[in-house]
Amino acid sequence: MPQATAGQISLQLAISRATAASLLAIAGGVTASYGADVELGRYLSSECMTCHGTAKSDSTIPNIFGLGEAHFAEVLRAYRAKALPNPIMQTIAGRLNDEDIAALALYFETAKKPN
Amino acid sequence: MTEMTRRNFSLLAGASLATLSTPLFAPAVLGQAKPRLVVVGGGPGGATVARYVAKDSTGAVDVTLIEPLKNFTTCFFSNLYVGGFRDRKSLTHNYDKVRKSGVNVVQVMAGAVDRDKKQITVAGGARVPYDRLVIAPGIDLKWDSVPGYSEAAAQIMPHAWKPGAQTELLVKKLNALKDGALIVMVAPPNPYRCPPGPYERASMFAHVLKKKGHKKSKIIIVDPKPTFSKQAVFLEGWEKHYPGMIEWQDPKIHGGIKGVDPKTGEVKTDFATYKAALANVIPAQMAGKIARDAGLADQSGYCPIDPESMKSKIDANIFVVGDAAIPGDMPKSAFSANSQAKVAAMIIRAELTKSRAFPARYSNTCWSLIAPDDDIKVGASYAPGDGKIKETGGSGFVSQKNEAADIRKQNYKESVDWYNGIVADVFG
Repeated sequence: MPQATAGQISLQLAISRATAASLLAIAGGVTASYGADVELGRYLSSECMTCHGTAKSDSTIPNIFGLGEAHFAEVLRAYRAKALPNPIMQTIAGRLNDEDIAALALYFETAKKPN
Repeated sequence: MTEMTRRNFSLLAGASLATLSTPLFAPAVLGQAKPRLVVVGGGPGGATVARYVAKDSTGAVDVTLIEPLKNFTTCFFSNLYVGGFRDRKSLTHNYDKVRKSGVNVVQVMAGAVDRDKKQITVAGGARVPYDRLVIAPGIDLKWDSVPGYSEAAAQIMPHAWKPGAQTELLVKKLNALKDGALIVMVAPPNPYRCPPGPYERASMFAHVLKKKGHKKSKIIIVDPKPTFSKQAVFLEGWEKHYPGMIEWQDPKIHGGIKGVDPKTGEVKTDFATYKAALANVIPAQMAGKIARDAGLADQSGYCPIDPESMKSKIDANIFVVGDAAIPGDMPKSAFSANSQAKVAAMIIRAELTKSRAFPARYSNTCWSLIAPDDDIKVGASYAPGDGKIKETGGSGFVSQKNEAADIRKQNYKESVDWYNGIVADVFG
């Protein structure tokens, strides 16, 4: 099965987002800024920077800055559930709990891409 | 905290006038008492700590990085240079952006650490006080771990396990080989820098010679280890791309590595004596000298650390990150060094500026190129457990046999993107 590109992943999620959005609203979502810990997000983000800090639109490693908190959290949850390929991201997301994901989503919404 | 005394400052000033055109170290301004972090070693461990503490503390910590090289050529990806996939320039980085991050980068060799006085002496005699010290010197080679090998022998039988002149020597010797040449690699015993590295290098040897049209050249790896990292997929890849060219011998086959003779080019095992046109001897390793001289290493030659913080178990004011540390289940790799550095940076900031500390987390991925567009990977995440840095259960992954070619091609592109990312993270 061909490996999905970052672009394809975004597209697939965009299509499912309409459905997911209503579910998120019901669940209260883990993406609410209220209560999310931006300092925790900053610490956790240091792991992400190594690979994602220089990501360009044509990289295999996607740009994760300013994606929107809801979309960011969706993608991480999908990796955590192994619904998306790439074993590195499955491993990284696999140890993030909902609080961690919310913190990261908040941090990456406002942080500036360093490169 | 040690104040910069007038005597110390004049020592520093004397050293700087003698050796450099700019002051070595920023003197403490009267009345200002910034906590001081000194980092020894400007590689993926040390430079990462320095940059992260400087930028995340927004100037609240005085950060000095001591590194003897003006430009740093990464050991990681140097195998790709051996294989002709990268040039040396693309693997070489300066410290300009590290300075712009607010780090005082000093190009000098660090010397003795006085742990009681909390100061480090550098070449030229200047003494640098610290509140916290990070030691990240990388590895030194245990020359006598392979009988007949030595620092002098490395000029004939290169290890190229530290980048620079050794890598150039290896590349020169490799490219001078004629068809029918025998390359013998003596692989290192655990624990060593870059577990899959020797086998990626053997792959690069084979690639270079195959590309030149060699039909008869051979590579023999004599290994003190019974198994090696990503073994199944390396063996599969060698069979696919270089059939009959690379022979890996475990101890059951060779019966023990007896020694090498740089004068004759011979590599002796219990099984056979090989006359190698190129002998790549990678000896056993240990922490860099400054760490051992400071009393931070144990009998393994590496430095025990607290897995929650990367602090030395021997001195609570000193952190050891990267290849010099005992990393528990983590491999010695640039990825690991950079990961460990961030935990150390967080704890250092928490101790010096009362910023928040969080539970330590670590991760690693290692990519290895077997042949063009055939790249394999292995990795895991880690956290403190059982008194060490422990692999998180279920987090490990490794490339599988019979994988689709486009996955292996994607792995290679990913590794190149990772390289761009990590060098920006380390060097700015």
